[in-house]
Amino acid sequence: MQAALRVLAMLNAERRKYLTRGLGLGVLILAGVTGLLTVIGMVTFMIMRRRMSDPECAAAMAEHGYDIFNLADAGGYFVSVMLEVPVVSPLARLLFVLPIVAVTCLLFSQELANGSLATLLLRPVRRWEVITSKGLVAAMYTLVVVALPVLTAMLIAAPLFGFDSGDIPVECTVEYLSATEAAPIGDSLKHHLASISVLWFGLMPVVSLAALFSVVFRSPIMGIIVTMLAYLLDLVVSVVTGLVGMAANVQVMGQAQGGGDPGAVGPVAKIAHTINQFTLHYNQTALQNWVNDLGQDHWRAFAVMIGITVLAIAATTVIWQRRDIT
Amino acid sequence: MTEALLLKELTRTFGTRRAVDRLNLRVEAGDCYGFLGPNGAGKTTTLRMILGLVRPSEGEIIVFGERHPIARRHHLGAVIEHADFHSFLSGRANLEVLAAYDHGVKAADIDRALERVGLRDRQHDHYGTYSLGMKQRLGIAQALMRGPKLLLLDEPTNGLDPAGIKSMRDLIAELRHVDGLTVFLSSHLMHEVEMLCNRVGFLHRGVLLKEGDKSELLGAKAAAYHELRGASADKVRPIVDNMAGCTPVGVAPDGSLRVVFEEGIKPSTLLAACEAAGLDRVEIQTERYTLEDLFLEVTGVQADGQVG
Repeated sequence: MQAALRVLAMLNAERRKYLTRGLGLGVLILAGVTGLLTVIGMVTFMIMRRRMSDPECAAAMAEHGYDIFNLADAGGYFVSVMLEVPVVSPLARLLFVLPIVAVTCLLFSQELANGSLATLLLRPVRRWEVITSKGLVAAMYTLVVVALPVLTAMLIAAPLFGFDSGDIPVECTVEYLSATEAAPIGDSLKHHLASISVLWFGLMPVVSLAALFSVVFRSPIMGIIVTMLAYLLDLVVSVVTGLVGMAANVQVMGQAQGGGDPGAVGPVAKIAHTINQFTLHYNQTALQNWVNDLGQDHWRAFAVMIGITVLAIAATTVIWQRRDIT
Repeated sequence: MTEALLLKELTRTFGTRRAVDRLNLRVEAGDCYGFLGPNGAGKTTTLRMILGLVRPSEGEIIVFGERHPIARRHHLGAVIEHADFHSFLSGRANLEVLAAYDHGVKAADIDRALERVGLRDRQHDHYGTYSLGMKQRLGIAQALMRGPKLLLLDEPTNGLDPAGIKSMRDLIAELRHVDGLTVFLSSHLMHEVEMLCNRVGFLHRGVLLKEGDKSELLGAKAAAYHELRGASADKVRPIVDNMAGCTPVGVAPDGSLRVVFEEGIKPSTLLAACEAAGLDRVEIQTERYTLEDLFLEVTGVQADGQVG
């Protein structure tokens, strides 16, 4: 009991130091913006999906040059993925990532940079206790940043479209994803909570790497810059390899229908896909797709996420424990 | 007497440089120990090792019988150089967030510490609005709030104006004499140490050159010395060398030769010798031996900062 109270006191201390009123307001604004973006993404997704699941609509789209996507075979999924995953989702996720990275870097290296860590470590406290409380605050802050926009999206969507009526079933659940009916609120909430969980889990590698970089460079600014550059590089590699893989697959599909040798593009797609599978962005999306019941292999994603997170936490802890506070 | 702090063969190496070299030192409970040394002597590194912020390469640190860094900190309060706080939090809030990491520190302890350093009235103001003197006082408050037995202070008057220096000096003296704290004061300000401390140690290039009771150290040099002003040491030295009962003991920062006379030898004899040699503007000024003189002599550092 006493230990739990002590942990809570330390968590509260870290919160007081870094989660200021200004930052809280920023998070609320961010929640609103990303919530709206999420709604736009969901609406786009559902419109595309609905149109493509309608044979007449698919035929009409095919007449306008969409035949190469082979909408009937791909179930219309390809186009929606082209729009939703590489474009809307990474941008929305970038909005999540920046404040999370900033707060994490502040938590882990601001005191190191300005000298106040020495004052803190004059207490009879073990260094791992300090770093654990900082890590827990970063994880909890990430949960708030992730949960707020998703729940905001839900709150915005409900009055606009309703949960059990309306033409566009925005609040779509696992069970209802492939249907065009609207979803009951209970299922919708369940789906959102699952989404929040995997989104939070998928951001843990980013949080742990931000902590590592900021501790290595002893500077929150450097930590933010290096983490964001790494994140953007991962995003670019993921999108490029994803698109190359998709393009290759489209070509294979076209060749399968119209003739030609599909083996000619096979290795390119394979290499692109292999690289893509190890990017953070791919694995974040894989987890989201798993929640959406789109059948993506989630175990590999879990393994990659956990691997990056554990390695980054271990390295951060070792540096933190052993470093001289000069 | 109880041993408050004991350092045994304490060494810290950075690369090939020995910042602290086999330091042996003892501070008794109730002492105010002046840890003197020029900038870069290794004073702050020593303090950081005592506090467990920097790992020693070799040696042992014992504080009131405790060896483990965490156990040592239960007895310690410290202000290293200038204690840094969060500028957007109030002085009190800064102490509260620190108290969260401190076993058993209650709101009443914070009140008491703020009262002790005279910051009770400004406790709710943002730290960023504090003057340098107030910031230093808050630094002392964070050291006091856990009721330490040994207070480590690293250059506590750095950057303060004369009123702030006096106020800080009075506070340190009170903490020692009224609150009964043992004080370990690291400084390069001789005057400050001379006024506050009963024991001193001289650190230079990581090596403790001399330590002991201040009055004993100065007592050995108790006899006043005389400075021969009005002529350079080079010109006066041959006259002094030829005069029985008069011995040169050093050179003052302004280049004057310092001498001591044996009993029975009058300074006027030397003045007469100088006049005879054509140095008729020489005057003799009697000076008291200070900690600064002892420091310069022990460390071999000249007044201009060069090592002699």
